[in-house]
Amino acid sequence: MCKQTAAPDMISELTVILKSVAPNSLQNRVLTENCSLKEGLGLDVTGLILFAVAVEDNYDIRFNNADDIETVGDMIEYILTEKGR
Amino acid sequence: MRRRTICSDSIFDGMICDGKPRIYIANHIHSRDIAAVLAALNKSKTCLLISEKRCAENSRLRYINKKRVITVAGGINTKWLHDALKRLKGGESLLIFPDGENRADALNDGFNPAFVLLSLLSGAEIIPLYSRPRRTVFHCLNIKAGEPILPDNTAALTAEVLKKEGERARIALSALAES
Repeated sequence: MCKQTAAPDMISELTVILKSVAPNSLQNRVLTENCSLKEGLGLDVTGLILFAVAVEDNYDIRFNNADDIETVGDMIEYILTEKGR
Repeated sequence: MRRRTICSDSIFDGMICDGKPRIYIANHIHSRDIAAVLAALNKSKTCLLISEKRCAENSRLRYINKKRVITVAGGINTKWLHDALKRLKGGESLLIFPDGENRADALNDGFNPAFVLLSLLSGAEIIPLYSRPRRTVFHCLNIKAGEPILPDNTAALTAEVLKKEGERARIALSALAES
């Protein structure tokens, strides 16, 4: 699956996961690749960890070396890299 | 020469010691409280869970065995979470200071409820510990343990549930201060 078609599918999957762990996040905003994980998702520290855990369970990966992930796009790239291993 | 925190005089009231892994949440008024409470829990095989930033700021923590400290990085790095779960499943307990600051009134500002997530994922009960300084020379504490708290695991795991259970734990810890 090439990256161009993977990203929109994954964004919709990540949106569903985000809504399941924090129904009040995003509100009228739309999740995009440029959304910052810390400010753009409307999550506090605990919500962010919960979102990370839900993504890990969904894709069967671990965010063990995830210090450089700042945006949703970085997260998608990390997931695709981990899945490709 | 290794300097020991003198805390064998710290009094533990209401503590249950049956070897089960637990998550201890405690308040701290002074930077020495962390090492003192951890040393008082020594026989329970307890690890300290603390943010990287606070670990670096607290010079007294350098005397603690590094194997007993799990540092929490920011962002979505979940290595600390999986380390903590592994320790709990291995029979070790965790000590967490969710108020985040060493102030007497930090309890009123709210908790970081990440410990609730650990409890829900591992099944370990949460024990609130309220510590009060006993004397200022050779920092010693009166530590009171509250009733075990088990978060509601029937509800869906959302940020709102974590906040609600975290608030319940905070109220239980604040109630120990008054009793």
